[in-house]
Amino acid sequence: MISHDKTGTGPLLAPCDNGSVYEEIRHVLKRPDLSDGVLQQILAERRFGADTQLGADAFLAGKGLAEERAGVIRTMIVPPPLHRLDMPAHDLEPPLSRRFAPLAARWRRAVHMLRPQMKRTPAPVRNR
Amino acid sequence: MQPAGSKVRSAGPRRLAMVLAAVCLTTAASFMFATVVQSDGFDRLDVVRIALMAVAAFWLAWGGCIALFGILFPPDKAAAVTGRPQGRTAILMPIYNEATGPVFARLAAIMKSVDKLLEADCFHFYILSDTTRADVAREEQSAYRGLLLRHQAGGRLFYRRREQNIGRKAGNIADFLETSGGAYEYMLVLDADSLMDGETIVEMVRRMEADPRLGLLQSLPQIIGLKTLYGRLLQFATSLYGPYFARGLAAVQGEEGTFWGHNALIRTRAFAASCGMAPLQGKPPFGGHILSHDTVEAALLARDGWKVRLDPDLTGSYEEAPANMVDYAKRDRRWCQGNLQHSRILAAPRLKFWSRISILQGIFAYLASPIWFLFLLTSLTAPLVAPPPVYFDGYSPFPVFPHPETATALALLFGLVALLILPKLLLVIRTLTGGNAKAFGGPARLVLSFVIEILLTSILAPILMMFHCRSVMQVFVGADSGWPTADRDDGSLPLGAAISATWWMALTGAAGVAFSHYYVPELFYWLLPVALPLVFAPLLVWMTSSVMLGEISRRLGLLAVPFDARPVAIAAEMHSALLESETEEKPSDMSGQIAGAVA
Repeated sequence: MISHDKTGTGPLLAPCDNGSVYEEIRHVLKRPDLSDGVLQQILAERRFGADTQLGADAFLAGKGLAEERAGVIRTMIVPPPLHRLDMPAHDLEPPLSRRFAPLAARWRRAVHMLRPQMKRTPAPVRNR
Repeated sequence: MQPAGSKVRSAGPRRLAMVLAAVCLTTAASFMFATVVQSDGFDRLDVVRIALMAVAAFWLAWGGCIALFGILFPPDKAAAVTGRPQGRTAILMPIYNEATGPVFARLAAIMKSVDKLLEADCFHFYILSDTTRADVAREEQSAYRGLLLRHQAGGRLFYRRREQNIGRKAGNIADFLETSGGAYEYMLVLDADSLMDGETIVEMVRRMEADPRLGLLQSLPQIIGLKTLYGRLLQFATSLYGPYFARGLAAVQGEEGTFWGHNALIRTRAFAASCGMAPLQGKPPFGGHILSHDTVEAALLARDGWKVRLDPDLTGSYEEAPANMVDYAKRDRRWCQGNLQHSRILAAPRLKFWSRISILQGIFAYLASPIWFLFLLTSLTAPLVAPPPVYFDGYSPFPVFPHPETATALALLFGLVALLILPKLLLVIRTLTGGNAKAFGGPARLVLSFVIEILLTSILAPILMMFHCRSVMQVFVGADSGWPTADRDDGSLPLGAAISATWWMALTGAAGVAFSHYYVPELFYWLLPVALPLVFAPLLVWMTSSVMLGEISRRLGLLAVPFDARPVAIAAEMHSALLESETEEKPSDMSGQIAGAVA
């Protein structure tokens, strides 16, 4: 199981439902990928520091100067950006049949070039 | 993804020159040795001895040539873009049951150094925990919160924990890539004991952006923070010789360079596409997940056309290292298993030729010791099974006496010793003439430190050889390492732990001395330089782990390194961060529960 750190003391106050708070958080953290739902949860669980200049309640109430509010926002524990990359597993010890497949193909090509007539002549014709 | 970009100067001629030089030296040594061993007749055991000598001499010659090439070929000036980097970088610190305080203090120091940059917002920090112990995990989470609050690093400092460390460090990094890797152009992979300057990090990013074909850029970490005599010896050697050995390596490796698993910047998409590794069939030690994954990852990147480069001129990259020989041997035991496991992927499809050589080199780093040991054993046995001398060969009426080859034997011995010492001596001369001696305590102290280093490493070499032999044997029989647990914070060892780790060496050394005294007295004095350090191994291991001896050497200005006089700023920052975290209160407002994954 994988866990990302996400702490809180439970919802004490209803988070500010004003969309501009979410925009403000995304702007300060330069994280446009954070959805409203995630931010709502963060605010509801109060996943940010209380020892900042601006109190948590004041922040949630939309009070304080921009810099003070940014100080609170920068203490928020937000999830990392989710942007997966595929990481295919390469087989470094493939079976011999696969390992020598290019060699076998080259051999077949060489045989084909050396004996073109036999390849082109249908078997019944050759037998006759 | 197919990389595009310009091609740099090929390392082919240098490689050829190096192989030729090593082969010539090996041939000369083998020829001299063959001359010596056939003086008392020739038998099958002599063929084995000559073969073993040839392999061991090639390994020595190879090391000597790397240092020589480091002197001959200074690194090319690396291209770098100017201005703000275009891509974002994730700085990754994978941890696994580590001491929490120092790990987070290191990260705090790196963050502080990065925060001073104008480009600070281009960097995000990840603590990728694979910690299995619940108490350590709790400490990590608390330290994470403290660090986040102190640095107001919300939105750019993340903590992620896997409860099972599947695939070890490689699995940990893979998990990051499969979750968040696409959000970053580059990732800087650290170790739990890594430290890097912000300036160095941004310079690495600039060099990466200047070359769109560059998949991995490895810096040269310097060893710092060791206080024991052995630690200071390591620091001195890596500080004085390390950069030149790295330059030599870089000169011959070219675009198929090296990856040491940490302190390296990696292009995330290239890594994700190229470096996924399926576990090998069968059970460990040779099957299962690939252990020393870094060498293989470098080979896989090169296989897909990406450049893998070591830039030895990148300063500001540091790591810590084991402070005593037992800890060093413990680490080597892990690396030994990983490198020997690589024997199964030597023939992996499409690997570049030089990548295979690098893998082979890693295997030989550990096989060289058993080869030397076998050589010693066969040399002790050879006189017992040698045919009796033939005085009358039937062609001459007069007796033909065996021709003594002592002079050739001595010449060979001095030649091998020169292979070990000469490159180091050249580097010391270069430091003296280049005006850098002051950083190593001044010319007189530098020369004295060089002599001490040569003497100590020569005395300790048989002990390291035996540790390697034991590791190789354990890997082959699948045995546990069974090391004593006597870790102290300062790196020193109690005498009991030293005895417990090396008593078998003392017995082996004593047995060798007794055997040669009774059965092959002509080899008695030749064997002493190897056997005596083994007899006194417990004492030597204990003494070299002494912090007091390390401190005395520091006060005398011996084994001095540049950062004795001018402490590394980021290391000082780390220590103050550690003190700060130990004295401050835990964050009380956010000490709640750890919830599940964030969707």
